[in-house]
Amino acid sequence: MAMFIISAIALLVWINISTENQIEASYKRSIQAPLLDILGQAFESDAIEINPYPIPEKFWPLLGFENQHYLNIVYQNSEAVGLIIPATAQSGYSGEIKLIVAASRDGQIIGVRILKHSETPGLGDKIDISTDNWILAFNGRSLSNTAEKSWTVRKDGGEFDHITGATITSKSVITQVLKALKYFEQDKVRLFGQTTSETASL
Amino acid sequence: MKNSSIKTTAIEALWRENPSLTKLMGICPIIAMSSSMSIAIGLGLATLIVIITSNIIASAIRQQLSLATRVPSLIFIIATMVTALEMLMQVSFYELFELLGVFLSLIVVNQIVLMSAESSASQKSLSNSVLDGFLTGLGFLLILVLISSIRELIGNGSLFDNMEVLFGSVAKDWVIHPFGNDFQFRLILMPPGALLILGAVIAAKNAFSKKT
Repeated sequence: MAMFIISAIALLVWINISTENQIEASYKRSIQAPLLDILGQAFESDAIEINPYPIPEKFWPLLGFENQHYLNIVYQNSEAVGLIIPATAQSGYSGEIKLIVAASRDGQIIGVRILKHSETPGLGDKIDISTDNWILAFNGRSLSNTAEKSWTVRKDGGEFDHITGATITSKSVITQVLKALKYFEQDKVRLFGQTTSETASL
Repeated sequence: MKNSSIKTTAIEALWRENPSLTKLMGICPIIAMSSSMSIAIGLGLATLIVIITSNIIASAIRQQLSLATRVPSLIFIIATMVTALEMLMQVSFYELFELLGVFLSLIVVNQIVLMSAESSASQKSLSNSVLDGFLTGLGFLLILVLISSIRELIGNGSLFDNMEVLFGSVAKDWVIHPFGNDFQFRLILMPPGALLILGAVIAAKNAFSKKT
């Protein structure tokens, strides 16, 4: 029995050691896939490099975080051209909505994607690009071309359509995207001050 | 074993005495993981691999197992196989691994797997254990495929959606929409829908067996 248990443990340890690196690589690929997707046609994809960068603790409440998250800086030819900011909307209809906002250097939104949500199927899940194009309404928006009071649904005097039957969901996504842009505004000098990929990845 | 008796055993295991339909064994993963064919086939294949490998080991060491420690030992074997499979799956099927989530680890507590290992450990020869494991796993896979295809077809209006998590990028164009792109019946994709479809399949099977 003891022999048997020892050999089983040895087998698992061996598999673990021999697959560790490949699992790490798969994990990295799965993390980067939505990032490349959100950037879409905005940059020539072969010259792009994406590097993670920790978010300072004082900005966590603004982005809806309670622990350390990483934003991604997009480099083209070693020059920082944009940011991919993660954020969590705490005020969804059912639970948290995790999203990423990609913005170019001048603060314009390249795209917004929902990474994880548990909204009602058929109603609130239209925030997800796989079910509906609603999320594309953010493309091209920025703090300068859309006034702060316009960042809500049309029936509250804003500039965004709401998803029928899912006003709470729509509003909470819009509000969180606005907060992500505010973060961008407050932190951009520090982030884009580091112009080369070498210094930022340190 | 003669050919004819293999055939009878196969029909028994796959359909007539299928543990999922007759004893409602292992219906938790069937209900949770049958909303689309790709993840259902993924879970079914994973379970099949675990059943066969743990049956081989259980059968090989059956003389060493005392009656008192047999079930814990078998669970230990199954857990080892599941853990190994989990790690190997992350290497080449990372997306599928994420989609299956906790239900991959939960193969450990699937009664069907334990039942098959138990019967291998108690009397069967190695070849019979492999055959038994293969048929049991295939029976489970069959029910998963049956229920998930009905659910995906009615619930999402599609078949073979998202198959690239299993077969790579060649499978991207496999998805078909028999009723047009807008057809959806969301209830069937939610947990109550799984119970309704499972019930309908069992009812159909009972009606069918009564006739013959």
